[in-house]
Amino acid sequence: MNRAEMVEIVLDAVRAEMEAVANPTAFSGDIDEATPLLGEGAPIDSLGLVSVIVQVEESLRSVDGIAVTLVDERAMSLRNSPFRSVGALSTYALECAAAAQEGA
Amino acid sequence: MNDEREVVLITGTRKGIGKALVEHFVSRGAIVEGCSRQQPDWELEGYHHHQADVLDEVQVRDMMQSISDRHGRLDVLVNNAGVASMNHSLLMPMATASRILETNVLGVFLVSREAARLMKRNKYGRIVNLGSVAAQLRIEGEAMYAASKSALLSFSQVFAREVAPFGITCNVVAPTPVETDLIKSVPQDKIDRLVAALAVKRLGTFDDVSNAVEFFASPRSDYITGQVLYLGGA
Repeated sequence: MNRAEMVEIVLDAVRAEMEAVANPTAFSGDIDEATPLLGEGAPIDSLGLVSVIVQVEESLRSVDGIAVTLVDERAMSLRNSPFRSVGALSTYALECAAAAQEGA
Repeated sequence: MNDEREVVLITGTRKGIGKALVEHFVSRGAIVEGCSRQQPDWELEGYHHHQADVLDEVQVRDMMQSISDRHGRLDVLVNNAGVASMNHSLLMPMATASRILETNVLGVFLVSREAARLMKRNKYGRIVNLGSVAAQLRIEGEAMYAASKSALLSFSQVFAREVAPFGITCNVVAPTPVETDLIKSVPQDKIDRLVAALAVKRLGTFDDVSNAVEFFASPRSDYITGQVLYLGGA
Protein backbone atom coordinates (compact mmCIF):
# COMPACT_ATOMS: atom_id res chain seq x y z
CA MET A 1 0.00 0.00 0.00
CA ASN A 2 1.35 3.41 -0.92
CA ARG A 3 0.75 6.76 0.69
CA ALA A 4 -1.81 7.94 -1.86
CA GLU A 5 -3.94 4.85 -1.20
CA MET A 6 -3.75 5.43 2.55
CA VAL A 7 -4.70 9.08 2.18
CA GLU A 8 -7.73 7.99 0.17
CA ILE A 9 -8.77 5.53 2.91
CA VAL A 10 -8.57 8.32 5.51
CA LEU A 11 -10.40 10.80 3.29
CA ASP A 12 -13.15 8.25 2.62
CA ALA A 13 -13.56 7.71 6.38
CA VAL A 14 -13.76 11.46 7.03
CA ARG A 15 -16.24 11.99 4.21
CA ALA A 16 -18.40 9.12 5.47
CA GLU A 17 -18.42 10.60 8.95
CA MET A 18 -19.28 14.06 7.65
CA GLU A 19 -22.22 12.60 5.75
CA ALA A 20 -23.37 10.50 8.70
CA VAL A 21 -23.73 13.22 11.30
CA ALA A 22 -27.12 14.83 11.74
CA ASN A 23 -25.69 18.29 12.41
CA PRO A 24 -22.48 18.64 10.44
CA THR A 25 -20.09 21.33 11.57
CA ALA A 26 -20.03 24.47 9.52
CA PHE A 27 -17.25 23.22 7.29
CA SER A 28 -17.00 24.38 3.77
CA GLY A 29 -14.61 23.46 1.06
CA ASP A 30 -12.79 20.33 0.06
CA ILE A 31 -10.95 18.12 2.46
CA ASP A 32 -7.37 17.16 1.78
CA GLU A 33 -4.20 16.16 3.58
CA ALA A 34 -4.02 19.50 5.35
CA THR A 35 -7.52 19.23 6.79
CA PRO A 36 -7.35 19.15 10.60
CA LEU A 37 -9.12 16.33 12.44
CA LEU A 38 -8.83 17.90 15.88
CA GLY A 39 -9.92 21.24 17.26
CA GLU A 40 -10.97 24.36 15.48
CA GLY A 41 -11.36 24.02 11.74
CA ALA A 42 -11.90 20.28 11.87
CA PRO A 43 -14.87 19.02 9.83
CA ILE A 44 -15.70 16.42 12.51
CA ASP A 45 -16.04 16.48 16.29
CA SER A 46 -14.19 14.29 18.79
CA LEU A 47 -16.75 11.50 18.52
CA GLY A 48 -16.42 11.73 14.77
CA LEU A 49 -12.69 11.22 15.10
CA VAL A 50 -13.37 8.01 17.04
CA SER A 51 -15.51 6.84 14.13
CA VAL A 52 -12.86 7.82 11.57
CA ILE A 53 -10.14 5.89 13.40
CA VAL A 54 -12.39 2.83 13.72
CA GLN A 55 -13.28 3.10 10.02
CA VAL A 56 -9.64 3.34 8.91
CA GLU A 57 -8.77 0.27 10.99
CA GLU A 58 -11.71 -1.62 9.52
CA SER A 59 -10.84 -0.62 5.97
CA LEU A 60 -7.28 -1.82 6.39
CA ARG A 61 -8.49 -5.09 7.84
CA SER A 62 -11.32 -5.80 5.39
CA VAL A 63 -9.68 -4.58 2.18
CA ASP A 64 -6.03 -5.37 2.76
CA GLY A 65 -6.19 -7.90 5.59
CA ILE A 66 -3.97 -5.72 7.77
CA ALA A 67 -4.86 -5.76 11.46
CA VAL A 68 -3.68 -2.54 13.07
CA THR A 69 -4.46 -0.74 16.30
CA LEU A 70 -4.00 2.95 15.66
CA VAL A 71 -4.62 4.15 19.20
CA ASP A 72 -1.96 2.64 21.41
CA GLU A 73 0.50 3.90 23.99
CA ARG A 74 2.94 4.95 21.29
CA ALA A 75 0.33 7.07 19.54
CA MET A 76 -0.69 8.67 22.82
CA SER A 77 2.88 9.56 23.75
CA LEU A 78 3.94 11.17 20.48
CA ARG A 79 4.76 14.87 20.82
CA ASN A 80 2.61 15.69 17.78
CA SER A 81 -0.67 13.82 17.72
CA PRO A 82 -0.87 11.45 14.75
CA PHE A 83 -4.57 12.30 14.62
CA ARG A 84 -4.15 16.05 14.12
CA SER A 85 -4.80 16.05 10.38
CA VAL A 86 -5.68 13.84 7.44
CA GLY A 87 -2.05 13.83 6.35
CA ALA A 88 -0.68 13.03 9.81
CA LEU A 89 -3.14 10.19 10.29
CA SER A 90 -2.29 8.82 6.84
CA THR A 91 1.43 8.87 7.62
CA TYR A 92 0.91 7.22 10.99
CA ALA A 93 -1.50 4.58 9.65
CA LEU A 94 0.98 3.77 6.89
CA GLU A 95 3.71 3.23 9.50
CA CYS A 96 1.39 1.03 11.58
CA ALA A 97 0.36 -1.00 8.53
CA ALA A 98 4.00 -1.52 7.52
CA ALA A 99 4.87 -2.61 11.05
CA ALA A 100 1.90 -5.00 11.13
CA GLN A 101 2.89 -6.53 7.80
CA GLU A 102 6.49 -6.98 8.94
CA GLY A 103 5.30 -8.64 12.13
CA ALA A 104 2.82 -10.92 10.35
CA MET B 1 -33.12 -2.85 13.43
CA ASN B 2 -34.44 -4.29 10.19
CA ASP B 3 -36.67 -7.33 9.80
CA GLU B 4 -33.88 -9.85 9.35
CA ARG B 5 -33.27 -12.47 12.02
CA GLU B 6 -31.44 -11.07 15.01
CA VAL B 7 -27.77 -11.95 15.36
CA VAL B 8 -26.89 -12.61 19.00
CA LEU B 9 -23.48 -13.25 20.53
CA ILE B 10 -23.22 -14.76 24.00
CA THR B 11 -19.93 -15.35 25.80
CA GLY B 12 -19.28 -18.26 28.14
CA THR B 13 -21.79 -20.59 26.53
CA ARG B 14 -20.31 -23.98 27.37
CA LYS B 15 -22.60 -24.47 30.35
CA GLY B 16 -24.79 -22.80 32.95
CA ILE B 17 -26.48 -19.48 32.29
CA GLY B 18 -24.66 -19.04 28.97
CA LYS B 19 -25.95 -22.32 27.61
CA ALA B 20 -29.47 -21.53 28.86
CA LEU B 21 -29.33 -18.15 27.12
CA VAL B 22 -28.29 -19.84 23.87
CA GLU B 23 -31.32 -22.13 24.12
CA HIS B 24 -33.55 -19.15 24.86
CA PHE B 25 -32.45 -17.04 21.89
CA VAL B 26 -32.38 -20.00 19.48
CA SER B 27 -35.92 -20.95 20.55
CA ARG B 28 -37.21 -17.59 19.50
CA GLY B 29 -35.54 -17.72 16.10
CA ALA B 30 -32.35 -15.71 16.55
CA ILE B 31 -29.06 -16.57 14.89
CA VAL B 32 -26.92 -17.31 17.93
CA GLU B 33 -23.14 -17.27 18.15
CA GLY B 34 -21.23 -18.05 21.29
CA CYS B 35 -17.79 -18.67 22.68
CA SER B 36 -15.89 -20.35 25.44
CA ARG B 37 -12.31 -21.38 25.96
CA GLN B 38 -13.21 -25.03 25.46
CA GLN B 39 -15.58 -26.71 23.06
CA PRO B 40 -18.98 -27.49 24.57
CA ASP B 41 -20.13 -31.11 24.75
CA TRP B 42 -23.43 -30.21 23.07
CA GLU B 43 -24.67 -28.90 19.73
CA LEU B 44 -27.80 -27.01 18.80
CA GLU B 45 -29.25 -26.15 15.41
CA GLY B 46 -29.08 -22.40 14.92
CA TYR B 47 -26.06 -22.06 17.16
CA HIS B 48 -22.46 -21.54 16.07
CA HIS B 49 -19.63 -21.94 18.55
CA HIS B 50 -16.26 -20.18 18.57
CA GLN B 51 -13.47 -21.55 20.70
CA ALA B 52 -12.21 -18.23 21.98
CA ASP B 53 -10.90 -16.71 25.19
CA VAL B 54 -12.53 -13.36 26.02
CA LEU B 55 -9.13 -12.11 27.17
CA ASP B 56 -7.38 -12.89 23.88
CA GLU B 57 -7.54 -9.84 21.60
CA VAL B 58 -6.71 -11.76 18.43
CA GLN B 59 -9.25 -14.49 19.13
CA VAL B 60 -11.98 -11.97 19.96
CA ARG B 61 -11.26 -9.97 16.80
CA ASP B 62 -11.28 -13.12 14.69
CA MET B 63 -14.63 -14.11 16.18
CA MET B 64 -16.13 -10.70 15.32
CA GLN B 65 -14.67 -10.89 11.82
CA SER B 66 -16.26 -14.31 11.39
CA ILE B 67 -19.64 -12.95 12.53
CA SER B 68 -19.24 -9.96 10.23
CA ASP B 69 -18.29 -12.15 7.25
CA ARG B 70 -21.20 -14.56 7.71
CA HIS B 71 -23.97 -12.24 8.93
CA GLY B 72 -22.77 -8.71 8.17
CA ARG B 73 -23.85 -7.44 11.55
CA LEU B 74 -24.33 -8.06 15.26
CA ASP B 75 -27.49 -7.00 17.08
CA VAL B 76 -27.14 -8.31 20.62
CA LEU B 77 -24.14 -9.12 22.82
CA VAL B 78 -24.57 -10.84 26.16
CA ASN B 79 -21.36 -10.74 28.20
CA ASN B 80 -21.94 -13.79 30.35
CA ALA B 81 -18.44 -15.29 30.64
CA GLY B 82 -17.16 -14.92 34.16
CA VAL B 83 -15.30 -16.64 36.93
CA ALA B 84 -16.02 -16.78 40.64
CA SER B 85 -13.98 -17.99 43.53
CA MET B 86 -15.16 -17.73 47.08
CA ASN B 87 -12.42 -17.26 49.61
CA HIS B 88 -11.63 -15.07 52.58
CA SER B 89 -9.52 -12.14 51.36
CA LEU B 90 -6.69 -13.12 53.71
CA LEU B 91 -6.52 -16.45 51.96
CA MET B 92 -7.19 -15.34 48.38
CA PRO B 93 -4.29 -16.25 46.08
CA MET B 94 -3.09 -13.36 43.95
CA ALA B 95 -3.40 -15.45 40.79
CA THR B 96 -7.04 -16.18 41.55
CA ALA B 97 -7.79 -12.53 42.30
CA SER B 98 -6.17 -11.51 39.00
CA ARG B 99 -8.11 -14.14 37.08
CA ILE B 100 -11.41 -12.90 38.53
CA LEU B 101 -10.69 -9.26 37.69
CA GLU B 102 -9.30 -10.00 34.24
CA THR B 103 -12.14 -12.22 33.07
CA ASN B 104 -15.01 -10.33 34.70
CA VAL B 105 -13.80 -6.84 33.81
CA LEU B 106 -11.21 -6.84 31.03
CA GLY B 107 -12.95 -9.66 29.18
CA VAL B 108 -16.19 -7.69 29.14
CA PHE B 109 -14.34 -4.56 28.02
CA LEU B 110 -12.59 -6.33 25.16
CA VAL B 111 -15.64 -8.13 23.78
CA SER B 112 -17.81 -5.03 24.22
CA ARG B 113 -15.27 -2.86 22.39
CA GLU B 114 -15.06 -5.17 19.41
CA ALA B 115 -18.81 -5.85 19.35
CA ALA B 116 -19.65 -2.14 19.46
CA ARG B 117 -17.43 -1.56 16.43
CA LEU B 118 -19.50 -4.10 14.52
CA MET B 119 -22.84 -2.84 15.89
CA LYS B 120 -21.91 0.73 15.02
CA ARG B 121 -22.12 -0.04 11.30
CA ASN B 122 -25.89 -0.48 11.57
CA LYS B 123 -26.27 2.15 14.28
CA TYR B 124 -27.98 -0.49 16.38
CA GLY B 125 -26.90 -2.71 19.22
CA ARG B 126 -27.91 -4.12 22.56
CA ILE B 127 -25.21 -5.07 25.06
CA VAL B 128 -26.28 -6.87 28.21
CA ASN B 129 -23.65 -7.57 30.83
CA LEU B 130 -24.13 -10.17 33.53
CA GLY B 131 -23.38 -8.67 36.93
CA SER B 132 -24.23 -10.18 40.28
CA VAL B 133 -26.16 -9.40 43.42
CA ALA B 134 -22.81 -10.02 45.16
CA ALA B 135 -21.89 -6.41 44.39
CA GLN B 136 -24.97 -5.31 46.32
CA LEU B 137 -25.13 -7.81 49.18
CA ARG B 138 -21.51 -7.64 50.36
CA ILE B 139 -21.22 -11.28 51.37
CA GLU B 140 -18.00 -12.23 53.18
CA GLY B 141 -15.75 -14.35 51.04
CA GLU B 142 -16.78 -12.62 47.83
CA ALA B 143 -14.62 -9.50 48.11
CA MET B 144 -12.81 -9.90 44.79
CA TYR B 145 -15.82 -11.30 42.95
CA ALA B 146 -18.03 -8.46 44.23
CA ALA B 147 -15.30 -5.94 43.38
CA SER B 148 -15.11 -7.28 39.84
CA LYS B 149 -18.87 -7.02 39.41
CA SER B 150 -18.87 -3.49 40.85
CA ALA B 151 -16.20 -2.57 38.32
CA LEU B 152 -18.30 -4.18 35.59
CA LEU B 153 -21.20 -2.03 36.68
CA SER B 154 -19.20 1.21 36.51
CA PHE B 155 -17.73 0.21 33.18
CA SER B 156 -21.19 -0.55 31.78
CA GLN B 157 -22.65 2.77 32.87
CA VAL B 158 -19.85 4.83 31.33
CA PHE B 159 -19.65 2.64 28.24
CA ALA B 160 -23.40 3.12 27.79
CA ARG B 161 -22.85 6.86 27.46
CA GLU B 162 -19.95 6.41 25.07
CA VAL B 163 -21.83 4.18 22.65
CA ALA B 164 -25.26 5.83 22.91
CA PRO B 165 -24.51 8.09 19.90
CA PHE B 166 -24.07 4.92 17.83
CA GLY B 167 -27.52 3.55 18.67
CA ILE B 168 -26.09 1.03 21.10
CA THR B 169 -27.43 0.45 24.61
CA CYS B 170 -25.53 -1.21 27.45
CA ASN B 171 -27.20 -2.52 30.59
CA VAL B 172 -26.53 -4.95 33.40
CA VAL B 173 -28.59 -7.87 34.64
CA ALA B 174 -27.46 -8.82 38.14
CA PRO B 175 -28.71 -12.31 38.92
CA THR B 176 -28.98 -13.99 42.26
CA PRO B 177 -27.21 -17.33 42.56
CA VAL B 178 -28.60 -19.85 40.08
CA GLU B 179 -27.91 -23.56 40.40
CA THR B 180 -24.79 -23.67 38.23
CA ASP B 181 -21.22 -24.88 38.44
CA LEU B 182 -20.22 -21.35 39.42
CA ILE B 183 -21.72 -21.76 42.88
CA LYS B 184 -21.30 -25.49 43.40
CA SER B 185 -18.28 -24.90 45.64
CA VAL B 186 -20.03 -22.27 47.75
CA PRO B 187 -20.98 -23.60 51.19
CA GLN B 188 -24.72 -24.10 51.68
CA ASP B 189 -24.83 -21.78 54.70
CA LYS B 190 -23.44 -18.95 52.56
CA ILE B 191 -26.09 -19.58 49.91
CA ASP B 192 -28.79 -19.67 52.60
CA ARG B 193 -27.63 -16.32 54.00
CA LEU B 194 -27.55 -14.80 50.54
CA VAL B 195 -31.07 -15.99 49.75
CA ALA B 196 -32.26 -14.71 53.14
CA ALA B 197 -31.05 -11.23 52.17
CA LEU B 198 -33.26 -11.18 49.06
CA ALA B 199 -36.82 -9.89 48.91
CA VAL B 200 -37.85 -13.06 47.06
CA LYS B 201 -36.38 -15.89 49.11
CA ARG B 202 -35.31 -18.47 46.60
CA LEU B 203 -32.45 -19.18 44.20
CA GLY B 204 -32.82 -17.77 40.72
CA THR B 205 -33.67 -19.81 37.66
CA PHE B 206 -32.36 -19.66 34.11
CA ASP B 207 -35.75 -18.31 33.07
CA ASP B 208 -35.45 -15.44 35.55
CA VAL B 209 -32.18 -14.46 33.91
CA SER B 210 -33.27 -14.86 30.28
CA ASN B 211 -36.42 -12.84 30.99
CA ALA B 212 -34.36 -9.89 32.26
CA VAL B 213 -31.78 -10.20 29.47
CA GLU B 214 -34.59 -10.28 26.91
CA PHE B 215 -35.99 -7.04 28.31
CA PHE B 216 -32.74 -5.14 27.76
CA ALA B 217 -32.09 -6.90 24.43
CA SER B 218 -35.45 -5.91 22.98
CA PRO B 219 -35.48 -3.41 20.10
CA ARG B 220 -38.14 -1.56 22.11
CA SER B 221 -35.63 -0.88 24.91
CA ASP B 222 -33.81 1.79 22.93
CA TYR B 223 -34.47 4.41 25.62
CA ILE B 224 -33.04 2.26 28.41
CA THR B 225 -29.29 2.30 28.91
CA GLY B 226 -26.74 2.37 31.72
CA GLN B 227 -29.18 0.58 34.01
CA VAL B 228 -28.82 -2.32 36.44
CA LEU B 229 -31.57 -4.81 37.08
CA TYR B 230 -31.07 -6.75 40.30
CA LEU B 231 -33.01 -9.98 40.41
CA GLY B 232 -34.72 -11.28 43.52
CA GLY B 233 -35.17 -7.80 44.96
CA ALA B 234 -31.55 -7.53 46.10
